[in-house]
Amino acid sequence: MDCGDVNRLMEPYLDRQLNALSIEQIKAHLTSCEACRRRWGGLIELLANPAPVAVPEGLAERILVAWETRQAERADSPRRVAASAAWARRFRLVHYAGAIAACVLFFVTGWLFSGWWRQPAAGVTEGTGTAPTITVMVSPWVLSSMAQAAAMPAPVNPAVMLASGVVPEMMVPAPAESRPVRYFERPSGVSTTQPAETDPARNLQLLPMLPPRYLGA
Amino acid sequence: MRGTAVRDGQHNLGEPGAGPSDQELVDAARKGDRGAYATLVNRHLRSVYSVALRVLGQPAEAEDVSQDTFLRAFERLDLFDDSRSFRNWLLKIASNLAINRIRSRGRERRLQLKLVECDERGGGGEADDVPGPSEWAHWLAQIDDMQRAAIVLFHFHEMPYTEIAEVLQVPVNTVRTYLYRGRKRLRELMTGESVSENGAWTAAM
Repeated sequence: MDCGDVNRLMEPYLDRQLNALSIEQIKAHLTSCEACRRRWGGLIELLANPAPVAVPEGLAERILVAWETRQAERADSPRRVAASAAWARRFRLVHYAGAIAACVLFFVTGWLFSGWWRQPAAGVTEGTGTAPTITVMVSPWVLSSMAQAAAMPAPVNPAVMLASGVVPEMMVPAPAESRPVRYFERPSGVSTTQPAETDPARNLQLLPMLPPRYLGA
Repeated sequence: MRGTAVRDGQHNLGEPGAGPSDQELVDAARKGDRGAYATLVNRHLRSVYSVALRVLGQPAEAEDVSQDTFLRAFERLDLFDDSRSFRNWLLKIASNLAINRIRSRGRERRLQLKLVECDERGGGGEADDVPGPSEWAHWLAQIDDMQRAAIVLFHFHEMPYTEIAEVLQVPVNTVRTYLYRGRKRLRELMTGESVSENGAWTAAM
């Protein structure tokens, strides 16, 4: 084996891919050839005999302490989980109670401000006995609200008005000349068999539930 | 354990007469035997720390990686395949952690300075009889991180190509390329000569 063979086989040699015979031949050549020893000796020595590493003092103990600590934490964690679960259950109860209280408060407040005292519901007759006395403490803000509510006109039921013959103004077709300009006029060439503008009864067909006698017939 | 010149790859593998085997210790540790944990740490810490230090180059980081390696291994002891070597399993975990650190910190020049510093500091200590500890650290620190990791795992800890490929998350052929280029760079650094791609010397000898 010559220097060229050694150069060629050195990579497989370092990769441990050579057979024992080739390894022995390379070693023998390196022993005898000064040039090849200078070329390869340092690298072979470096890779074959790495300098030993000194483990820092106390590292093993620190690792074991860390492991003990982690195990203790793991052993402790189920208790903590159980405690937090109990707290969660308690808080859930508090949440439910709070939600119920909020609902009750909401409905009671709505009932108090619904104006139930202004007029009795239909069908309720005056009793002859002594009404129970209810004392309600109200704030000035509530009093002013109550005064405003009392000053408002009574609600209007359009069905009652129509039934009594009063047709709301908005249902009566306005005179043609006073109507606002429409921007969607039909083309002049298109004839309509029944112009809606001249037939008030057609507009009043919007209220089919009304008897004909109320439509001016 | 300290100060011995035993090669890192030849530590106790559980041979008869040298105390309980790794497998027996692992079984005992699974049952909660604290002494088994301590024995496993004392037996394999040197190998684990060596891998971490040689790959990372910084003693502080190597200590962190060593600790994380054992904690992770002990936590996943149930996942350990009993048919395999416990030491290789540890080294794989340590290599993974070290490579992850390298990836996270990126390529930093200060690595070289740190590695040289630490070796000069430790060079006058227990390893006086072994020639050139600061020298190899000096050379190794100057090559690419992945190339150094491949060289450390293959040459110093005798890890097979396939496992190195798993650790480095590269194909096996890439591991071969890392080894080739890393060794080429080492030769250039050690001899001061440039080496061509086919391994021939371009400078006059």
